[in-house]
Amino acid sequence: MDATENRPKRQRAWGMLVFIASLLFSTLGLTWGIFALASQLPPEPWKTPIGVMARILPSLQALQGTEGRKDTKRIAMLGDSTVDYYPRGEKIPDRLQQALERSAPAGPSIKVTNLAFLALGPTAYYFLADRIVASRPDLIVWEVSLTHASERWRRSLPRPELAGWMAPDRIPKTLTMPIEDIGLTADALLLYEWIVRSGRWEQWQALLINLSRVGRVRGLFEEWLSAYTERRPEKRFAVVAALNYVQNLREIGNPDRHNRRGEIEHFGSVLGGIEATHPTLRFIAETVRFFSDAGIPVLVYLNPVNIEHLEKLGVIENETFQLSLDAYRNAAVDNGAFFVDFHALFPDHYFDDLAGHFRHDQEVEAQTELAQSLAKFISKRHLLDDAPLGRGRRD
Amino acid sequence: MLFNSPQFALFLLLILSLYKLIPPRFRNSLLLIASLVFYTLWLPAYLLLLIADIGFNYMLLRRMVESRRPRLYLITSIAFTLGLLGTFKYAAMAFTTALPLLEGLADTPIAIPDFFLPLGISFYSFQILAFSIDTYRGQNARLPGFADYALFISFFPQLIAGPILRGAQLLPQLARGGQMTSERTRRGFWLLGIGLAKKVILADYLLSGFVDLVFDSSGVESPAFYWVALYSFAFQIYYDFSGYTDMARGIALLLGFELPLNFMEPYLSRNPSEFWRRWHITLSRWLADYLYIPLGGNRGGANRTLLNLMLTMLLGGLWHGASWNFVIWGFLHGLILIVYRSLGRRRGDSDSPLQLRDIPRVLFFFHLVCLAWIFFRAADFAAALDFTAHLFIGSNSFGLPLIQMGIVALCVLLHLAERSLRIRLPEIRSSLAEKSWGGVFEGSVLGALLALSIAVSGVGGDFIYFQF
Repeated sequence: MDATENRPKRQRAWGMLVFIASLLFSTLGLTWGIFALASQLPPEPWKTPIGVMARILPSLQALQGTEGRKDTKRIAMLGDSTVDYYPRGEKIPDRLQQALERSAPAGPSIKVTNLAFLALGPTAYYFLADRIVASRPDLIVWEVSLTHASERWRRSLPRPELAGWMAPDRIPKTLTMPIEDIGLTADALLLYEWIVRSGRWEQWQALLINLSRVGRVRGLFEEWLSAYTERRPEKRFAVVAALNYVQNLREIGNPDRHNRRGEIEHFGSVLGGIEATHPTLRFIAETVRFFSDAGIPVLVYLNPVNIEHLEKLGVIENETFQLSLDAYRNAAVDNGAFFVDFHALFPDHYFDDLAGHFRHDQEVEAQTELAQSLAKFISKRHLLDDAPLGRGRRD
Repeated sequence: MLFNSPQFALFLLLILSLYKLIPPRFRNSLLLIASLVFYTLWLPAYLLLLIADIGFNYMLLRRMVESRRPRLYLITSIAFTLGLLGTFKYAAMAFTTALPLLEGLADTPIAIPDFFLPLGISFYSFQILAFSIDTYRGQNARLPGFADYALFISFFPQLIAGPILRGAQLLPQLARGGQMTSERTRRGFWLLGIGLAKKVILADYLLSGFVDLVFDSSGVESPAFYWVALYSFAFQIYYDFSGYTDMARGIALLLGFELPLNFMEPYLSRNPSEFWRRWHITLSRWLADYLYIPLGGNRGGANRTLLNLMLTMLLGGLWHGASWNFVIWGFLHGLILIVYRSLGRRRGDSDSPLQLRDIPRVLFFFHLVCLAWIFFRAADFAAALDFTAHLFIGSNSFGLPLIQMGIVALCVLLHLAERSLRIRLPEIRSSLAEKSWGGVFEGSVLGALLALSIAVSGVGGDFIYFQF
């Protein structure tokens, strides 16, 4: 027991009040001061969802703004970097719009809205589904990739904070989904919801940016120090380690364990066959069902992967790999979507990297070929008509 | 809910306010509800598992105290609790162990199913087992009511990662009700602030980045980097876990309850026995009381003692996680203990104050502990061996990681300061409390610590010990 316990009750209460007041004042004042200093530092938006929201929310609003225009067929295109990675005007949505306009020059005008963004996978679209439905597109074209089911993707790129943009009436259902798989817990979900519903997400973003900036201080300190030592050993070590890793991944044909391991990490359990209970497939299935129940036709396509390379490495076996392909197809088709499997569409030299991005140069026009295949499917199935043909059919 | 998350800050504020406002007789009920909500807000489905574990074990306890054959109920309790722990924690390990054989047969990668470990199951299972065994042994004077027992097991400050409590440590306090004094409140805030700073500033901001960089890279030869990463990890895991424990103890103090110490500057230990009296103390005592001594302890001769030690350490390793790496970690500590005992070197077994002549022994033993940590952190056995090899081969072509070396030096100094602070802090705080400006000073210093913790929290991650 310290000396304060022997004091009269009133004095103890006053002492406690002074302590708490000093604690609050000091915490809030210094935090504000640190953030004020941090605002001098460059932002690091990649660590925050602000990039997503800066792109997706305005695009959704633009799409919503064109609702009811009978002279225009409005398509919402969802996907990750394999849709959005290319230069402006050469992205898959741009190519799709051009292909559709060419295929039916006398028809209504086509507007493909790009709702794809770097590393936006099934969970992100699950959370954004009601906002997409609210913008009432005539068709949703959704790129899904085999990498979305990998452990690597699910642990590092699920963007659970987007749960805040989900309609509150979807929370009970969401709690029955495998949210733990993407590191989302019920308390975090409720926090994100509260932040967005109470209109505080901009402050939340500002806080995250400030925290990211403060997180960079150590790097800046290293830079400052390197001016005196003329070396940054930690940075050099990191660069060499990263180059070693990439080098190992790139050495096709070399039976290096890192090479195989890299691909196994990249695609994860998909290579060995996954089933409908896989968390990623459950999110795809639920999202597709949500769109379908809202009466919006959905075309899901499985993104091309560098299948030749995977075969060379010997990390896929037809039988088990086919299980995964079937599982993806079923997740879409069984919930009312159309499904096209493009996974083996292109040969090795069409790919820029192991992540499945295409080369974009004069010789290879993979985006155009992919978009044309999609446009052909959309026309063949009359997906932009009022009554699309053969919903849920296997193609 | 992570203790260092904004949602926990809101939750704690709400619970503390309600706790203070409601009549004392309802306070334990509030704490029980709060504890169950706390657990539910992680993953609602696993609440059922926790309740089933508590409910079934309580039923067995009641039968145990009424029965003339209490052993039957004790065995059932142990089998049920370990059965749940085994199913949720070790089924994946069994599958993964069999996987290479299956892959060999099929000659293709096989998908490893995801098993989600219910949060804190290792901790609350051990608490349940301890209570059942103590009741069987007649060490619990009387069986508490169901609500008190449920609160004892699920008490939210320590539910997720300990300290692992015995009935005698919390149940009498629950019966009396939380004693919220101004001294406890201040001490609680201090422990909360210090714990948060250990976790966020030291473990996450200053240490984790470098550890991840070196442990997760391959083929880069530079022994200095590997040694510094190893020291960094030793301090990262210490500040991560002891930071959590400090926060748990601080929160309990704010509610008026005392929880036991779980760490006492373990890296200043002079030998393995001392280390296990200073590292994760409540687990070490649990293993001693409910495993080592029932196995025979040191009563069956020298060889039997060494075997018991090894078995205890192997199971202690396995408790940390369903991975062979943890078993190897336990084995290494078992080996260190066996060698130490075999050499008959017991000097320094007592917790006598450190002296300058102890430095070589402290340094030597610290390095043994560090080498064992490699298996704790590395992704797999091959990676651990690879890391160990890199400690000794290659050239230091990148130079020295000076900043990280500075951070490790800071951690060493803080570790030394911790011992002095732990002993002298009550005295310092008492003398501060007598000064008119004491409250302002204490509040401001603690506020500065909290502000710094908040500001660097963008780098954060989960608590390492949550996975156990």
